[in-house]
Amino acid sequence: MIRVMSVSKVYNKGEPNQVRAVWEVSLHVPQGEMAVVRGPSGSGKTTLLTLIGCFARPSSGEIQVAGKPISRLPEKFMTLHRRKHVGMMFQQFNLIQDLSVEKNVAIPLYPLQLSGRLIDERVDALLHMVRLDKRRAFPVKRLSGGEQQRVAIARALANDPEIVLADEPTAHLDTALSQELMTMLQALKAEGRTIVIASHDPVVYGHPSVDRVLTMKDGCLSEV
Amino acid sequence: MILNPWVIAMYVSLLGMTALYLYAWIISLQIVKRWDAASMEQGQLMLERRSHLAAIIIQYGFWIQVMSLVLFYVTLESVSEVIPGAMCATGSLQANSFGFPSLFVKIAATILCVLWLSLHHVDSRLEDYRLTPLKFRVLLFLAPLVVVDLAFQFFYFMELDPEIISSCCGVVFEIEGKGLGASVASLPPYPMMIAFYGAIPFLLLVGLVFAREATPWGYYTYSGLGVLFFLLSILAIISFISPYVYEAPTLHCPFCLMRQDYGYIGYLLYLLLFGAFLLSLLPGLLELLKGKGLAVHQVVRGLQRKALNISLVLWGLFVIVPTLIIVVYEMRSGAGHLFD
Repeated sequence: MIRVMSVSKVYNKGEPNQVRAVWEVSLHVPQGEMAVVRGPSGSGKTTLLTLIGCFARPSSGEIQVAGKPISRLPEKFMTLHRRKHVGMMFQQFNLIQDLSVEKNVAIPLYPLQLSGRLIDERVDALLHMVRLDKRRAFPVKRLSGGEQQRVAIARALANDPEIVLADEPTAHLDTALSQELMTMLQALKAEGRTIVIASHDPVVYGHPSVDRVLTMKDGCLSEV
Repeated sequence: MILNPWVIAMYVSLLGMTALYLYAWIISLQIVKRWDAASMEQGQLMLERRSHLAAIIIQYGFWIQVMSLVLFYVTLESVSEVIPGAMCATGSLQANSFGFPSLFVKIAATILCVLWLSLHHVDSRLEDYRLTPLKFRVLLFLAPLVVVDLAFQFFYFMELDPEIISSCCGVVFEIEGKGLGASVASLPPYPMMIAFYGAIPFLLLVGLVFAREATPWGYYTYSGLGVLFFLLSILAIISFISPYVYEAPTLHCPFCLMRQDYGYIGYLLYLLLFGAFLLSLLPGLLELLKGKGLAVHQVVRGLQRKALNISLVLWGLFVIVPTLIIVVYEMRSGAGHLFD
């Protein structure tokens, strides 16, 4: 499903503040597998996720998703690829605080030109899945950290993606909520979605549903 | 020099447009010199982003260009009031040597702009920027044309002298007069009508049957015929369509058609004519791109069909409008033919 081949990402190349965020990383995650990339802060985990998720382009190497090369796509097609195939959970959630829960979840659906009724149905199903039905009209800023995380999950799944990427998804959650989140991700995996998580939380990489754990250090990746 | 609000508006719009096009031209130069599709460097990413910016500039520039074409006509009409001898835009254009060249450069820039936007339309649907270098090489020619347009307009209005007598459209398009306009006006109306109404079924037939088979020669033939029919239509407007609009066999001005007195019918006629002409050019021109890979082939094929179908409709509408004018005139005058 996801094939990363000798990918590097260098910021400010050739300048004094050059940063080698990802270096010669190769990785293969088959469909329906859950992989965790662990490593200390600044090791390049988030950069690797953004490259897989088509949020940024690598400096060299190639990334393929379902056999299709995505590392050289024009930005317009990167957006289309993300919109169709990728669901991303950001470390800081990146929710729009003043909008309601339902609006936040519906945002990825607006560019798909679906009817209002279809959007409502999809949002209903997602909010039911993350058990936020009763918080539907609440502004996101009035929710707890755990609830916001669940909104972020619902939004990431709004476009029914084949690939779910989660960046430090338990960073703001206690152990119980982290376990709950992993159960949700396990259910997504059972649906055949490919999941890549960046985390240094033992609750995540020690979870029984995780198929592979990889370690990232100074931009380089190694399998545990 | 003549300055009135319309002339000032012309200058302002043209200066703004030229500044935008020059910026797009600089971007084009950078792309032509440094584009490397295989590169993943930051510099290439910046070029890709600038290429989008340049395309947006040209898209907006096109609409400004269309508006400036209309504004040019309105300005010509307004200055005709102070130029001795001029009765309409024709007299204004005749007032000095920059008039008609200015109009032709403006039309040429607009046509090239449409062709560039079509190329951009194809390129923006490709996942590998395959046509980007070609697109920006073409843009290198478009931007200077806009500068020439500005220069011609500037010199045209600078050289306008209310002391110098110009000619009215009745003289410029006088039957058996001198000059190109008079030669066209002198074309025999009935043979021209036969040529015009004989050519359109042929063009539509080629479009509906031959070109729809999507063969390269079908598209080339259709586009070639589109050019010929466009020229024939211009001749037809001067030789017999405009006299029917004016209900006067000796008046052949192609500009007065756009006046309020004649219900602004000229705007409709020219909109249909130029729309049909440009869209009928596309199938043949786009055919030239098909050798650039399977992805280009697929995108071009869809666009060719769309352009072909819309151009056929526009050609049909273009012929219907003058036909209705002629029929209404003949019915009202009890089949008293205008040129008899």
